[in-house]
Amino acid sequence: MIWQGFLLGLSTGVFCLGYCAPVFVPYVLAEARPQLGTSLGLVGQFLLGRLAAYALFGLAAGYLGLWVGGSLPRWVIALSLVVLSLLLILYALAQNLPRPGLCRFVKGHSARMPPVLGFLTGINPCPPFLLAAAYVFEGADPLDGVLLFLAFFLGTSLYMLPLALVGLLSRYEQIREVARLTAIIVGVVFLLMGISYLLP
Amino acid sequence: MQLSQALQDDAIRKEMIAMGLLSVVVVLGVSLWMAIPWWIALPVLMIYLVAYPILATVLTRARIQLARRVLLMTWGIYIWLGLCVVAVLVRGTTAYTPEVARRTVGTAICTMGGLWVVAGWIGSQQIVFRTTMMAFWSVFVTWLGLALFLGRGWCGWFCYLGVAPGLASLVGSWGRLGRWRRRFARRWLDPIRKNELSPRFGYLRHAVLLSAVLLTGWLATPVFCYICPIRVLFDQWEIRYDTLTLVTVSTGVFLFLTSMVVGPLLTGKRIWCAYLCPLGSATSFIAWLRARLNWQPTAARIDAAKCQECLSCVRACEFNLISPRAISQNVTEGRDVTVGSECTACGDCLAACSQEAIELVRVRTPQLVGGVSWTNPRVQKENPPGVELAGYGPGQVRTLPYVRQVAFVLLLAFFVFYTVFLLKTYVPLFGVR
Repeated sequence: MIWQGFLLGLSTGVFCLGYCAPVFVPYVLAEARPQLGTSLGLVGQFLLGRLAAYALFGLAAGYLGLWVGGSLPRWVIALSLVVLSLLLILYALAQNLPRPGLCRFVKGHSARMPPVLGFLTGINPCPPFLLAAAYVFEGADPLDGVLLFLAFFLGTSLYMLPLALVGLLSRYEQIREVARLTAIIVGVVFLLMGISYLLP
Repeated sequence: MQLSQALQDDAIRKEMIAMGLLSVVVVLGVSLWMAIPWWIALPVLMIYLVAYPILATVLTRARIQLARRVLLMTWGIYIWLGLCVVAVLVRGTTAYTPEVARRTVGTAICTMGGLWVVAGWIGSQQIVFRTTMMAFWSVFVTWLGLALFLGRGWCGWFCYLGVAPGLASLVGSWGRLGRWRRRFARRWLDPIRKNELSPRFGYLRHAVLLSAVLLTGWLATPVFCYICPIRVLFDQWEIRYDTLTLVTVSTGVFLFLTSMVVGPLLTGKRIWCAYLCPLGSATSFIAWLRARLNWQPTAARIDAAKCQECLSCVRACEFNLISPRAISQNVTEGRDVTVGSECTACGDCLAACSQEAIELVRVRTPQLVGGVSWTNPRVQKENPPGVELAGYGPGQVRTLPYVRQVAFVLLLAFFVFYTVFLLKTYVPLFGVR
């Protein structure tokens, strides 16, 4: 089970990169973090958030054995998208508008954002995630579910590490500006998607 | 400059001979590749050989912007009309709905679509744009090649996606739009017309590109196409009454009206191209790369000794690349000001300057946002006053030979072979469909 999960993660990890990049890239570029170590730390925290989401999902999926439609309920995905989008927008605004109360609050807590972003991204099912879930549904064992998702996480995480290199570009003010605007645009798109999922 | 005068210039004469040879190679190569009969290829070659000296004469005048506008607009309109004709003949409509997508091979991909194909392939290993590989390669490689060769000369000289804002800004720059303009001018339009907006607006198109690339990779669908304002002209959306469609289509129409029609009409600026276009952003990046590699782009330089700080060049630049702040900070202290790699080499500022203080020179100033990292200590250092830049000194022919050459060859090649393609495809006399 562990081996299967790891191989699945290795073979489909590029998809995960494509799914996490829109959230993580604007975040890591929006503030000056010229050291590679800092960026690696952020990637680590982001991955921890994903790990928590995967473990939780693996446990739940394995425990329930069968999940309706083989996926999370629609409203959970929609809510996670809405929260994710609001966090991204507020974070980007907080970099330029430090005074208003909410923005100041977000800026003060921005160091805690990577795990939250990782968790919210983690519970948004991408194709490899659903594939891993399908294995767990078949097994219908909570422990196996958690183990498979842990191994799957390890396999996919290898592809996430290069994201730390992107952080090196944040030394340029122009790129930070572009990243903040990007965070707002991506946030608005997520918000629209989330709202459209919530509507009947 | 008359043709006889032009021919007396050694450089122009050599250039004409080189272009004649290049024309022969291009025509023969394409004719062999596309199996075009000799009785079509020969007249094409004749057109090349006769038209080039005439066009070169027109373009060696200082008022190159007129020729540029005519070429760009004619090319753009020709492409749009051609695409519409092909779409109507092949699929019966210019709209691109899911039903049309099901029963046809795909759509004529636009240059921007090439970016999304690459992004989707990298992000999700899927071909996100339903089109043929031939169409993809032809538009994408053409853009990439021209951007590598010309930098942002692509935007100023070739981009057919900028036809609508180009036409509108042209009409806007003639402008006596009277009450409408006056009413909105002071508050909304003057900051754009005088290029006094916050530099953040300059970063917007880069953010549009980055977010579109990331989201295309994530969703495995060309996200930008859902709100692309150019779809008002071609590949129109299917209107469905669900929230997402209504939001995306209204956004596209809104962007078209504001940034491509009304905005340019009222300001004389290509607002779409200056602030929003993701393709322009990708082209800027390539131009920046060129400058970093010391492939010197052609850009406008303002001679501090002649400049009267009237700012007519600021108002004339459709892309808002000339910063009034840079002029006031540098010219008063006697420093020349040079637009960096962002310059589209359109020549509008040359024509607008009554003092003849602007010329097109080759520079080494990487730049990603117009009017911001704009002052030129590096250029000053590399090209100190008094050193004449090769072939472009004051009083010499004020034009940009390589743009002229490429413009000529490619535009003519496109006109001719696109026509041949249409004829061969749809007129039985010329071929079989």
